[in-house]
Amino acid sequence: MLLEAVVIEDDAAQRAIFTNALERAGYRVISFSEGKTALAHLIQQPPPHLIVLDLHLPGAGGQEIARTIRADARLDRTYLILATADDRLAETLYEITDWVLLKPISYTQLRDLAMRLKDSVRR
Amino acid sequence: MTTRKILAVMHHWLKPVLAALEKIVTPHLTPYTPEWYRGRLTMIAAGTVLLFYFFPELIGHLIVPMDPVSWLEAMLILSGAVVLVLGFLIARQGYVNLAVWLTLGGWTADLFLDLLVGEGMQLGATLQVWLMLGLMIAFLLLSLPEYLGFALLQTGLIWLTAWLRYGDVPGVRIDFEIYLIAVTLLGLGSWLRSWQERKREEVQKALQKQKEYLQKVIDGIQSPFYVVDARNYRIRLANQAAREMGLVEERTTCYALTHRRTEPCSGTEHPCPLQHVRLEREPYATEHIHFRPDGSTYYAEVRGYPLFDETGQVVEMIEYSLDVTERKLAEAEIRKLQRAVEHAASGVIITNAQGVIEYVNPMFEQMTGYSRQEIIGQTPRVLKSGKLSNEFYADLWRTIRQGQVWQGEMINRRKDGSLYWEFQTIAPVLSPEGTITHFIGIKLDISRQKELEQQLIEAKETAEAASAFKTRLLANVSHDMRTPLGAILGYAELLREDAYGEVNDMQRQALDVIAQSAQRLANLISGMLARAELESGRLRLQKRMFAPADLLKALITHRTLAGRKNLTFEEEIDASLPAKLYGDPYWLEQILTNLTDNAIKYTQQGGVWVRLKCVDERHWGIEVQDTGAGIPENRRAEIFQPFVQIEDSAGQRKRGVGLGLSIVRDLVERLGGKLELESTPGAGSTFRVILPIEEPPYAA
Repeated sequence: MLLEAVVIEDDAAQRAIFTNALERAGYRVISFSEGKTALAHLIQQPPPHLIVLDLHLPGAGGQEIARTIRADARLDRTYLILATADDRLAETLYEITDWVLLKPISYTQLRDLAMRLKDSVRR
Repeated sequence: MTTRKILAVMHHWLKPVLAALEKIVTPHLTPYTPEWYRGRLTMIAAGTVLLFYFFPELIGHLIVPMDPVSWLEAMLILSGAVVLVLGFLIARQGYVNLAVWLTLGGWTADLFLDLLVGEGMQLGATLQVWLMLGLMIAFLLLSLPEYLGFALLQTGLIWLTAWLRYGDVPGVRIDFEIYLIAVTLLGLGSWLRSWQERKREEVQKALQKQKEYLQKVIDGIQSPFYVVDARNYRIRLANQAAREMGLVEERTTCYALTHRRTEPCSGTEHPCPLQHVRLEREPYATEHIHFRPDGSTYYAEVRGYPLFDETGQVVEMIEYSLDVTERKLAEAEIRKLQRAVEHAASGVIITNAQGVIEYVNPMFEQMTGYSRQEIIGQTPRVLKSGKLSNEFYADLWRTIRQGQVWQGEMINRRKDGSLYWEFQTIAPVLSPEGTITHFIGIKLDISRQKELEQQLIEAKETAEAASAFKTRLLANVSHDMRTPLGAILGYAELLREDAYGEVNDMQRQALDVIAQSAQRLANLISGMLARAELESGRLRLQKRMFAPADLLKALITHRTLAGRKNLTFEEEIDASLPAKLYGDPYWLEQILTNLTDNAIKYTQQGGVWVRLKCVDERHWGIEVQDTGAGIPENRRAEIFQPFVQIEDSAGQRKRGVGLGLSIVRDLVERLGGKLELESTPGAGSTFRVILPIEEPPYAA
């Protein structure tokens, strides 16, 4: 059974790349273009192995979503990877997340990271 | 005419004779003194008696046939003559009184012995002449009591002789009344003379006293004061101060001492007040340099006064000199200061204690537009601009009235109404008693500085605004560029990984270039952002507690990059390093990624080791070691310059943005740390960042 990964990214091209990288790493990927639906999905469905979250989302911002996810005890064992284009923003989020990737995010980098995380469990 | 000629001839012939005589007679007495005259008179008297009494007597006795009595007489005369010669010689030796007594005594004894035992001498008219001659000599050469003694003796002897030899009284044989009258008259004369002498002595004593008094008075003058002979400039009279200077009476000439000259100062080459006094016959004063006896010099104020004789000729001159060296030096000092004040680039104003202006310098006139004539007598209130509060002036006055110096900037109004800024220092001038007598103000026109300052502030604000805008713009550009870069990078890699069908080698290489370029562009953006923040001075440190291990998470890309180059890539954390540190993790991450970027970029084989180390109790470090080309000693300084890269061994430029190391160094310094480099060309380099372990300002 494949591990599940959730991608939340409004940019279609990025979303496609992230999805591809994670699939290549051996995940089943479910992607969202905005936060609300993604959060609804996360609440209803069993927690995924990892989440890749873009910080710059329309509507509810990425930081807001990140905090909600981290506040949810069900998602305690889910890795949260943040993607951001803002240098200064990235480092303020280490506290609430596991990895912060600064855009442009290399396809191979994400793939390698995802592969490494596959074999481990958060905490 | 003829008489004068005869006298001249006589003088001519007599001169050597007189000179020779001069040597013979009374060489032991001071010439022209009363004693000297007495000595000479005594010699004349003795010579006269010898010549006119003894020689005829002696010759008379020697020529006529001798009887025993005559021999006795001859012996008497001879011994009398010897006594007189003795008197003559003694007078010559200067024992005048003894000589007189020998002469008179010897002669008188001879006369009376001759009368008593001899045959030739009779108590008669001839003897009376001789006796009166003796009285005359006694009168001339002896004092009153001596004369009286001699007269009494002679009278007594006459009486005795008359009685012993003839058995009667003198009046029978000589004109005794005449003799007695002569004795009396001569006695009166002698008394008169002695009275006169006493008087003269008294006068002389008084004169001497007066002279001593005068000397005391001039000695009281502490500066050299002396009287100079107008003919030869010899010193006639000098006070104690002058004598101490070597200006001693009769011995020295003033110019020899005070000017070390051999002739009087001419008055043209050197101002000589005496020269002026002598020629112009009026008092004169000048200042010049005098020598002291030890050769040192001093500045003297010299005054000369003429002393006239009854015909109106200048016979003597008084010179009076004051040592004014100190005053001269003080004057020179004052002149110097005055000149400095007059030519100072600052305005100088002096007011009295009430604030009334007494002096302003030319610069003040230039600054304010008021001329000296206009402003003197006014108060500085005329300069008031009305732009400063009353409290400002009250504070100023309070400060300076307390005797303190006030300093500050104020805006004033020129005569033409325009405003100007000045920096003023006001200092009170205190009297020795401590009361304020004047105020001195030094003004510097700072209008231009003020203007520049304003311009500078404006320019700085503009620059800062521009810089802030640039930083903001860069931040926005950075953000907006990263998303499309992500697409470029991601798709290039996707293609390269054959996600959309197999690509050939050529295509793969092209895709590599695209991916690398996108990555480099992203690094360039980071670098530019960092530099912009550093240079705008707006690099804000956002310090907080962070886990050093989190820093290594930023190296995820590098692991991939190193893997692609088949390089070993290892991360290590010292066990002793605290789990949490205080600092700005964003910039630490920038430093770490930059150093690691470089290490991977310049290493072709071997590996890259990233270590977080605990250096000591107060320092921790980031160490990035590689097995790259290394950096030669002579290039180490320049790799920290922006936009400089090290050529590789083949002399080819490595690609890269080159912003990296200079930013790293600046960032490290900004964080209070230092960047060290250890490198062996060919073997590799180690960059070491040493940072302080900081305590958070709040309780953790």
